[in-house]
Amino acid sequence: MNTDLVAALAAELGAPLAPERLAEVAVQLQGQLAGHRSLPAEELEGVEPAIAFDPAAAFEHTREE
Amino acid sequence: MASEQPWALDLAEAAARIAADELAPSEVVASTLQRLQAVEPLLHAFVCIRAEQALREAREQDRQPGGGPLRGIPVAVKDIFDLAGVPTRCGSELYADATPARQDATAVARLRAAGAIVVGKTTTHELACGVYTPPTRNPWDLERSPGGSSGGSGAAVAAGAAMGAIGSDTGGSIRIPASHCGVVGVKPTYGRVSRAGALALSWSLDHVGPLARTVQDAALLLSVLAGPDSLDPTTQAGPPLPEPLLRPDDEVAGLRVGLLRGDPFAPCEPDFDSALDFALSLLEAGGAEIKEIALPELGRSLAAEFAIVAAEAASYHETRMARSAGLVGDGVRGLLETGLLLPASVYLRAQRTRRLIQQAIAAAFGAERLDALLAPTVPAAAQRCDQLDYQFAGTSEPVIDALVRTTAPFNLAGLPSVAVPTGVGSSGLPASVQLVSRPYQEQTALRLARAIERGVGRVTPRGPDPAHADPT
Repeated sequence: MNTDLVAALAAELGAPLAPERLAEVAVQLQGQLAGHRSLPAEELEGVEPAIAFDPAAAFEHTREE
Repeated sequence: MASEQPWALDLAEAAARIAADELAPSEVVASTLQRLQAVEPLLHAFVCIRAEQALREAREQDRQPGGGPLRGIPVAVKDIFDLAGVPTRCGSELYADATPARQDATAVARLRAAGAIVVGKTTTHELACGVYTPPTRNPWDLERSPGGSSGGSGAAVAAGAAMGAIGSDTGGSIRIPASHCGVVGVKPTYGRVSRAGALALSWSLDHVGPLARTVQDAALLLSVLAGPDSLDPTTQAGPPLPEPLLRPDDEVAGLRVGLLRGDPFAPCEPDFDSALDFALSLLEAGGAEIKEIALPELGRSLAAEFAIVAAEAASYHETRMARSAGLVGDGVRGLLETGLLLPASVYLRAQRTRRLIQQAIAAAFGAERLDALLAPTVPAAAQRCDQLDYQFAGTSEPVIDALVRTTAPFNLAGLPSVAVPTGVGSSGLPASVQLVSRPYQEQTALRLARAIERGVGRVTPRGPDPAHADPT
């Protein structure tokens, strides 16, 4: 992982990294992107993420008594 | 061991004696505080001790008959939960300047409404994200970690400095300290206990639950903690727990239990393989039907767990990291910094993997008509405080990976899991297994855990010996 790329990405996201942090974060990010022991995309075909959205949730306390 | 002392009583027994006017709340709290202050110089399990307030509250209870099911019971609260009037510092310099909380977290409020008396706040690994919890020591061996992130709660309960405690579990943070310290830890179904007023680590993986010396004690605490809370929308869906949650004559005969031995539950230290065999034999002796099953999909848990935690924790702490990243210790800081840069595709791949894991477990329960799963809580005994890796048959594995690979699958699936001690291994340290049941069926896991507990007997050390405390 190119540390200049990591630094630029962090700066664009408003989370500038201290120079001494770049190497460690680059290694960790590389590890996450490589997805060690994670499933490849083809094995996840047809599987929806485990994220539920309930359109009624925010209305729970807005009912008139 | 000083079994005649009130601090040494099981929570349920102390509660029963108080209810029967055989013990006064102030006797129990005073005894526990005395024990706490004796062992704390060795354990460093507390970030604050409420000695005067706790005694005052107990004396007020002395004068008021009746009260809730936890009347006069001394409990400890992990320092990620708000306790009115006390800063919540989360084991992090990020919160060093926190002002006193204005109100109790829901879990704390429920304990206190039931009569429990908070004797102090316990240490947490920084931001509830880690498995060491410095500077806290393990009461079984002061050179070893109590585990984490709820390490202070585990150490305090094991040593008799509180009769029960609450912790949080995002990837094992209740069950790991429970295993390391030889106590019972319950991670309930996701949404069973409100997270309101607690620090988040990962919104979709955080669970709140109790640690206690016995299964019955943990069940009593859980029955008080559980229930819908308008401040936490995840608590609205589940059916109520049965009352009582655990009956003295509940048996395990006829229950079908799936035994998990393969990846990611192996390799284990030999003591932990033996612990699993012992637990299995106790359940079989009680009439449970055991079916060995394989769930290779769970071998994908660690990657999904770490990606979800990194992304959600980074988002939760984004503002604080932008201002004060230098205040976070290197280990946790790296996770948060990486999480901020993680592509959405990686996070979503993890959430899709999570769905697959959830479906695989559900399919196994359905195909084998299972009531529960049995697995090692963790694969190894408490690590030394400076130990970075475990050795399994000559293979090295980072401590964090080893401890989380067996616990995280059930955070991802949101299922209830009860960690129960199985005795003391050849190392002189406790071992543990976990019972995992269907969603909102905590009573099944508790029933099985108690059957194991009855066969094992007491393992909690109630150490260390205060005579060895460093006077400095």
